Amino acid sequence: MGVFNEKLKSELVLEEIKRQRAIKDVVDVEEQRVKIVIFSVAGRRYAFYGANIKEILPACEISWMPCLPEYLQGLINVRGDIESVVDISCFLGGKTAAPAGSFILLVVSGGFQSGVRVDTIDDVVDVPVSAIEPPLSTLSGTTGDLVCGEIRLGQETATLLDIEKLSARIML
Amino acid sequence: MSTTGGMGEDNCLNLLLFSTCGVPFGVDAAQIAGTAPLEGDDGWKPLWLHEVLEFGDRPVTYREPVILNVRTVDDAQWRVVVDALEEITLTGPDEILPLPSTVESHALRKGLWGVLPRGGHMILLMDFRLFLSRQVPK
Repeated sequence: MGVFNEKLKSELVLEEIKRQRAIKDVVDVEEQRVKIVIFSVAGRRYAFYGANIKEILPACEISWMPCLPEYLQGLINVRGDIESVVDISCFLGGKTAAPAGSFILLVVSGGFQSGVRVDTIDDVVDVPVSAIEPPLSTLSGTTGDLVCGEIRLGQETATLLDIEKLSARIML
Repeated sequence: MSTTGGMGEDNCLNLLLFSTCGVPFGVDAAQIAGTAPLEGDDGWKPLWLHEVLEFGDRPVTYREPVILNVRTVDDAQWRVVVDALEEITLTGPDEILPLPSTVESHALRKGLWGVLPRGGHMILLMDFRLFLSRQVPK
């Protein structure tokens, strides 16, 4: 009887294989990754989900237009389409650096599309979803309203901004 | 010109192009009854375009100020001072681009409704009737 209660070596090996595969599945889920575009405004690092970035444009002439609020800098012509340009520093505090050294992120979210002027593009990275932490509870006010997380990048962090929340502010 | 805002059978617009404080504008020529030089005080207080459109902190300089006598639907008298008349140009609808939705609501309040890209510049299209319909005649 004892002999029949013992597991066969093949059964043990198969169990071990299944256990290893289950662990691997868990690891795979944990390592689901998202693309993040990291940029700087007024000396601070921020990020958008890469899925919301249609294009990164180099500095170009922004045509000023009257009767726009301060956060709308003007218009640009992107291969025959007119796009607005948002000065995101108006929502984040501080002022952007010289326009000559800036970039424009063409962002999309639902029906919203606009350029967003930033000082520098620091990196485009794939990060594990688990690397995105909840927003700091110390953030408040205008900036805090736009934040959807914090991303740890080595010794530094970048504040992940929610484009839907930004668009809601702009389309008021 | 037609009373439908200059849109002919071929849907083209005769646009009067001018600039004000360095910003290029275009307006349907059908809305303009005539032009006159800015001179003397004849009791009429014209509207200055930079004030109408709230240019804010931008430097205000008129090199060749001209009064546009605006023809409105209700025959009200309006005179708007602009700068540097350039030309009247026939423009097809395929040349005109709509404003982005992010700026449209702000722009329409002041009668700005589209953009004509030309020579690397963006000419802002203004509808005086749309703007002036919300004003009280002076």
